[in-house]
Amino acid sequence: MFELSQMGIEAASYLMIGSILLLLITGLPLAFVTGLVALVFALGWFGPMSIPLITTRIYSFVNEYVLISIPMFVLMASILDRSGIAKDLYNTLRMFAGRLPGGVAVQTLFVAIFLAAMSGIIGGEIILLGLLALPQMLRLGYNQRLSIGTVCAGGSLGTMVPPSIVLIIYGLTANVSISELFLASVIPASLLASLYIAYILIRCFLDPKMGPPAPKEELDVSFAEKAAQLKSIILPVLVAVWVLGSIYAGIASVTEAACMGVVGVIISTIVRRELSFAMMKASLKQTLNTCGMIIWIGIGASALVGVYNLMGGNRFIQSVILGLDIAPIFIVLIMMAILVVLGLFMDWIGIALLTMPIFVPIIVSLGYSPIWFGILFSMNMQISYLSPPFGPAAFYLKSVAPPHISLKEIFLSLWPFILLQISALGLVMAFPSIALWLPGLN
Amino acid sequence: ADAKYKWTFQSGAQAGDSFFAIQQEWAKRVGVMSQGEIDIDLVPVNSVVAYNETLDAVGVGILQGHIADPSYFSGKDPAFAMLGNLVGAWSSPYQMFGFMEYGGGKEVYNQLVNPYGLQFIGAASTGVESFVSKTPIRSVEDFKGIKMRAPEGMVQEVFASINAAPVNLPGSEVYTALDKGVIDAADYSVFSTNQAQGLHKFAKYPLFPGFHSMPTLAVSMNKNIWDGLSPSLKEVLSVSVREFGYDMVQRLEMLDKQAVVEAKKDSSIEIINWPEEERAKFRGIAQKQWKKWAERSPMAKEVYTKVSAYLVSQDLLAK
Amino acid sequence: MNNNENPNTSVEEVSAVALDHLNDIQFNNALDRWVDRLGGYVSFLFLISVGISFYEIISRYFFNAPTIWVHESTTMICALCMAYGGSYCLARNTHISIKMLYDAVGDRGRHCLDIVNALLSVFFCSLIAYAGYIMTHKALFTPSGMFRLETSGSAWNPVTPAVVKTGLFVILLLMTLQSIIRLIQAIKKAR
Ligand code: NA
Ligand code: NA
Repeated sequence: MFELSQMGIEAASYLMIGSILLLLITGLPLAFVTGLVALVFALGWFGPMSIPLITTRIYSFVNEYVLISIPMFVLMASILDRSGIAKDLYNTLRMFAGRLPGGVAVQTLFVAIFLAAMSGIIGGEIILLGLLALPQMLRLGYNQRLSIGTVCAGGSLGTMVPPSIVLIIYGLTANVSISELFLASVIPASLLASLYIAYILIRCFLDPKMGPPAPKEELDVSFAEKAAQLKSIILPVLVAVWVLGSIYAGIASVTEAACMGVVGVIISTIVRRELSFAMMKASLKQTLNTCGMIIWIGIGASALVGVYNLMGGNRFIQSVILGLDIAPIFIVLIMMAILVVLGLFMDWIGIALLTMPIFVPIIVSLGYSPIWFGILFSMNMQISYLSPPFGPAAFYLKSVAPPHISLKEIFLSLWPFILLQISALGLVMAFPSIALWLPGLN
Repeated sequence: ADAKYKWTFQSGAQAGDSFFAIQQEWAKRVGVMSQGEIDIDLVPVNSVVAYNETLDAVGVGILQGHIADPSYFSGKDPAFAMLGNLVGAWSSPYQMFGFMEYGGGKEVYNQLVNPYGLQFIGAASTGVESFVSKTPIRSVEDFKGIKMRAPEGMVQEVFASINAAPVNLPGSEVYTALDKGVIDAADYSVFSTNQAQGLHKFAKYPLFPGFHSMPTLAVSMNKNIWDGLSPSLKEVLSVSVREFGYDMVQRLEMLDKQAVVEAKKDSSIEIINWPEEERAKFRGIAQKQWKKWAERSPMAKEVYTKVSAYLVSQDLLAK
Repeated sequence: MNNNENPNTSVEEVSAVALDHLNDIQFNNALDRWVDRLGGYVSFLFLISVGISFYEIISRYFFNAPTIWVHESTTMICALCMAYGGSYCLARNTHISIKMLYDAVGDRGRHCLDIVNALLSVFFCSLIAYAGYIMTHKALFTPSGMFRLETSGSAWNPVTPAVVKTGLFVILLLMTLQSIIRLIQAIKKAR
């Protein structure tokens, strides 16, 4: 073979990143890009006997129980989208926040926070918002980029707001209290959400065309009409109560809650007399399509992490960090930088798998709180969802957005929100008590 | 500084688990004891392949070895389940070590894994697992109707046979499911881990010392590589693994006791210690399940015969 | 950042397109059309997994009778569907890719890229399909060559690992075939 192992892990790390970038621009599907790089490095480094590693990782990845909530959330979103529920909900929301420039975007963020409390997985929420909120905001004349940014950034909050699968996996990996992680994430998550809201309001205040208020005639309706319109939000609210209730009353596990969501939405469409075979068929096909995209991207990244770890990538990163002779806080800073860079190319499961075993012991030995670092990690993953070229939030949205919205357009919409995320991350780094105050770990 | 043998071993432990650090110390010690000839990179669970795929990976040589609970491979042969976690058989890890080292356990395990291309070196253990529960469970009868998370395999069947309602849940779901009350109790990990992850904050009736489950951790490596090693390196590996087993058990016991002291400071937590007669009753029920499993494959039968003979010889089982 | 050029026109159309952009896809060959049609049936499996998960929740919460089969069945169904999604998206050309270069070059460049990408796809899919064969063989036969289906090892102990591994192998084969046809078509088009 080509004996890639001769070049050493450092050069190989750069070559990997380089080849990913090169393959990305040829227009090869992302899923194949990461998978192909994993395959070539497995072949070149270890020889043909190592190829089963790739397929084994594909098998293990699709067999992961927590992934079940993705198709269910997508199915829920597709059905909602095909029924009139979403449109009615947004019409009502507009009536009540109509006078405020950007009001509907702010309401979308509240919906996002609500969804975040229902699920721990990110893909589902962005797809739900992408199907539910984005077309409606566009319909109401909102600026396209502001709308896209709101949906992606808001939808990403699902992994910060408890229950959060990122924090659970971090807690299991680092062996720290998950309840303390959940408590610690509340203020930083609120901080992020407030920054988003402030940004939307300021942009729309400066330029009301970005989030136009409803026309006067639409707002000047009688109280009776308003009350009648309110009826249309009864069903969505019931569905939300049904899903949230099933988690918090101990009826369903976090993953099963997604199933409750599908059942709730199907019942709503029956009540509205909208359920039809054709609609169900279309929703299911869309679910298959969206899941195919999302899961196969994860598959490629997962294979890449397996190969890189086998090559000794974990040891390499560790030695780089331990070889630094700098103040502890700069080590944290460098770890954050590594996470940001990895976030450009990988999804969070891969990053957690790769870096947590290396970072957490170092953090503990430096005397920092692993709870605080867990929050920094999950905030950093918020950035990774949005950052190009590998931004899962953008991919999720692209999978359901109207076709004229290109991936490039989505990424261009996201950078102001990435800046907000970086500022929030900096704040929590500088003032650990933002995270540690609530669990009483100051 | 270049080692003659550079191996990647994958552990079944999470990076932050207390016992992962102990395992890494073992890997380092092998380097020193072999005078730098062997360099083991011990990576945490799922780093290279998923936890239940390491058997195949070591067999074909993708990984050179693993530290794994044999129960993960029960789907390949039920004998793995019996060697991995023979519910109720052991009341202390030292009894299990005795079987593995001197009672024919090593031979039978090798008979099982050699065809898969693996050589078994020795066993370690995390000790007897504690049990987390939201309601007080003081006897076998109290298990009736308890919705509990139980891991794959024999443990689940034993609990089903005492009328508990075992729920299938992955480890990552246990925390919220227990917190919100989807389940009442869970077979999860050792006391110190349960305490560290905060489970006792809302599941206030842990059963300790445990009795229901004591997973074996098997240290094995690729057979081709093993066969090519010099006798002295083989001895380095065997002796170091034997010592590693004791090291791990002793240090985890200490951690458990520290965690118990910490838990006792919280007066709302009640640590329940089952009386001997209830433990015996549970063991009796578990033993019935072994026989059922023994019928499922020739190797399982072999394991059953060997373990029973050993237990009888040690006066741990009535003939 | 600019406002949309024309924020208020055709917004109704936009959402209409959003709904149905998945339906008017031009298929390049019969295999892709066949994969698409089969996908229509496969996707109904999702509904089944919702149904049985709901059954589990109800029987556990209200009747204190959790099942031993739902969790593993749902995992198996979703695993197979999500794996099939790879082939389905390949058939419909909906895998996510970055089209920057593709859009920038002319027709000839595009033909070249098509060929390169199809070649890479064939290489990737065929090798992992080959590895899938090895994996499936291990799931279907013991080391001594005796036929046995690998089971999950749980109390229910279903043959799901054998089924999913075999299914994955078939899907990888299918994707290899799709990529080969794509390569042939790309070469023909370039001429
Ligand atoms: Na959440
Ligand atoms: Na990214």
